[in-house]
Amino acid sequence: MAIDMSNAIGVEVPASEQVPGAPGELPPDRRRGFQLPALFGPGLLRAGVFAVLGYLLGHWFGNLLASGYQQVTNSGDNNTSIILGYLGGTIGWVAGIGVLAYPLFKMTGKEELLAPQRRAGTSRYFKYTLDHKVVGIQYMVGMIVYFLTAGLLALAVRTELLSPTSHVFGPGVYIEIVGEHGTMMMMMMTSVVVGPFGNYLVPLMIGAKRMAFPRLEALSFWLTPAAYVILLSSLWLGGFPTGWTGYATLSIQAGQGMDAYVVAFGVMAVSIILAGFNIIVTVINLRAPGLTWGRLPVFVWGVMTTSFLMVLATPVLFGGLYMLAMDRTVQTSFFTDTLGGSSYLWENLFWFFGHPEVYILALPGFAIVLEMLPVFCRKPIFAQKVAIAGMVGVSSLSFFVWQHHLFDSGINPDMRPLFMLTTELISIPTGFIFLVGMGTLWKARIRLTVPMMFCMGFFFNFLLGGISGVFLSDVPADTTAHGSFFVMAHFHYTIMGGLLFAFFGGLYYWLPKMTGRTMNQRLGKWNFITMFVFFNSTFLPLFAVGELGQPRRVFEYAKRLQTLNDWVSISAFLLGFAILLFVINLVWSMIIKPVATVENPWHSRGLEWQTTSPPPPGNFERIPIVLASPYEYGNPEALPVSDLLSPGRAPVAANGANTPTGQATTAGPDTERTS
Amino acid sequence: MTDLADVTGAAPPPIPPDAEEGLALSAAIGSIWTGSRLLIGACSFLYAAFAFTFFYLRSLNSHGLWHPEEQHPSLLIGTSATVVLLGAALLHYYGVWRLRNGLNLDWRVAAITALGLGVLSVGLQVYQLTRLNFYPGSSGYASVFVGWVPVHVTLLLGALYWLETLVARSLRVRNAWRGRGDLGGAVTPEATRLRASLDAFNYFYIYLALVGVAFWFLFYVID
Repeated sequence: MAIDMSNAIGVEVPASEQVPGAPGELPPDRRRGFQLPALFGPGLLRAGVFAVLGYLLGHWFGNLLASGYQQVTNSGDNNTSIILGYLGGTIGWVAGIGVLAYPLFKMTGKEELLAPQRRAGTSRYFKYTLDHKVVGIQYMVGMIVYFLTAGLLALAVRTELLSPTSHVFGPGVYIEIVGEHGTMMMMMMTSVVVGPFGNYLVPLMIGAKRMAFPRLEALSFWLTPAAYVILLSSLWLGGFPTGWTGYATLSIQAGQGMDAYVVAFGVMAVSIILAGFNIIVTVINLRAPGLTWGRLPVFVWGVMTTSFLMVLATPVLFGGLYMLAMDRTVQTSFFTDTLGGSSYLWENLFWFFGHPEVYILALPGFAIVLEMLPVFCRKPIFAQKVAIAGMVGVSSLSFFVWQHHLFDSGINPDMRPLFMLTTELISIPTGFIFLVGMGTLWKARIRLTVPMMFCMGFFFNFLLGGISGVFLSDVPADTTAHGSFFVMAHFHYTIMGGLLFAFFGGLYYWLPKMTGRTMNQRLGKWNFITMFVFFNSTFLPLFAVGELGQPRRVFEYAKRLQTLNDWVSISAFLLGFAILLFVINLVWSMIIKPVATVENPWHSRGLEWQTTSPPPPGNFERIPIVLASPYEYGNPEALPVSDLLSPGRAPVAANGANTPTGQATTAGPDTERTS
Repeated sequence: MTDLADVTGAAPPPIPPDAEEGLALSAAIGSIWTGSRLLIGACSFLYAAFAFTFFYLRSLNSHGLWHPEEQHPSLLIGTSATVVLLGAALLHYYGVWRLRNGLNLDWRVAAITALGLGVLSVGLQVYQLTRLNFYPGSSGYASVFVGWVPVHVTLLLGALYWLETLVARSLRVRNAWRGRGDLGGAVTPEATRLRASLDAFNYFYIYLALVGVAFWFLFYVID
């Protein structure tokens, strides 16, 4: 409908004039005027001050608006002031960090060109930056902090469940902790791969020098600390009793801690949409010449299909959260049956996001392991196109399964078979992806490095999680297992056993690329072994606990289940110790005793390994031309993956090994085709 | 971008630096195109949440409180806001068409007018919220209506911000491109980017206007 203006005919400006500063092209505008002292410049300090001021301003405005409402005077709870306070705080935070400077500058008609970010040192990680690599590291640290916080809350849950009768927490505090743990984990997990690895690696893997919209990328990260603080602050406001699912009408009746849930999840939703949006646009438009869709790394495919889910499903969650906020503030009745609304409306809106969310979590895990498998099997991915078709199939079908979460809560019984069918159908493309992994492993001479161990752990855990999921998609089985620890064990197997194992494997694999330093392999192996053993020791018995009738989110249970619960709790503490090993390894290898990595330590053909570690500003000295698939291991006739030949680096050998010159390697290249 | 190199044979020569600028420009234009369509996709799912809510609550009619007879927002104000927005979008579309024919001033006048009409539409919608004869929680219909308007207004304000930056930029650079075809004709990278952004905005503005028409049907015709 609109007119394509990109090829308008007009007066040609000579090429010589098309450089910045030449008569035909405009020089970048510079901001002039009074310069603030560095202390008050964009940064964490100013962001903190602005966040507090924004909160106070929003809170005051909310009181001004709503303090006279009968609802407020009767209950003493002014949800409007809390929600506006949080929103004001978030706006103050992003303004303080420097996000709003450019949009305001742009309103005057001025334009800043993107300059390479040349600031070095640790301070750049605490600033608003347009360098996708810095944003990737910021995300990585942020997600680890999220994960550790939510993990400590999980240990608190298991502490309470040590005994069915003696209590550490009351029932109210217990449900607050459960809700906080679940919400923080789910919010974090959504971005755990796309945030750190997507932002850092996608431009490198597609031969681009940056992301398509670097400012949106930076904003998507800087919203996450705001969401983290807001969600944690819920504990000071009495928490929220609904768990991460926020079911109405309990969510409307809950105290002010629920406001924190609404705003934190809403802020995170915006962050998720922006992150996914940027990834899709970048992959479609910034691929290097020669990087056809068939040559696109499977990791990029996985992140892109995930991003589509993020961009399309999350707005529905945002809409639902907005309606919840409206119900709690201006007294609309979206979710109140007696006033023309319906509590089931929330369940539909929430799960329309919530079930694609499950695949937002699963697909990046598969993407990571499928990216690593050929490297450590030294053979191409088995049936790569089938894996990609599986990813596209999973992401498409995931929009048609959400009603299975309503099997036991009032869905029209005639609709159950339909959604049982769609849910069971989705196991087919998921199975495709799993079988592609198995096919790649078939008859391979596996290098059992730490990342590869996590890949193997992923497949074992996901198999159990996936199969137990098929049970839950079946209406009769779901009717008995619904709301029990069986469901809890199932999704922990898919999310923690699947996604997080892949995430840890990815960290061991790509941290040398991101930091130029290598993780301690011995500690890494202990990290994997303890994590794998204690993860299974924690969650496998929970299937039995659930089948024996213990419900989720309840702080007391039948005495006959104490032995199993104690076993699980002790295993959970040991699992915490296993994760502590990772933190120790990270701090030791990256900060205390850093060991420089060799170039391309895994002998990968991936484009991201064809530049230095860590990559320079701009990633590549020039845009590469991609010549072949990155997975042609063992094919003696394969072209090198690209035409890049960085100084001091050997050419990419035709057989797939990128042999460093004069450098020791951690493992010898194994180019023999084994199948 | 990927069709720029034939990579079936031996390694081609590296891309020269000035060709990299061309690649960057085509990537920027493609990003604007893809981004605007993706934005429309994301907004469609947000609007779909409200459309779903409308039909879901309407079909349930809990306690007979979907839409009591006496609850009607002002038809005059609602229709005016929708028509003004639609007019603004069509006017801008026409202005862009004129720009493509080299009539830069026509586009500037159309864009500034479309900006003003957009602000007027926002004002009318906000004003309408203050003149309702029902409370937000008095029925399902009332909730959907009171909930939807601020969302539409917010997205509309975002679009108007976008248009304002385009107009401001075109005014600031008009002297530099004078004699070279101005915005509609200059073949500089920035002019090409600005035109691509204009094209993307055009799509989005028309989209918002059509959404306004669709929800006008829901609220005033189907109700």
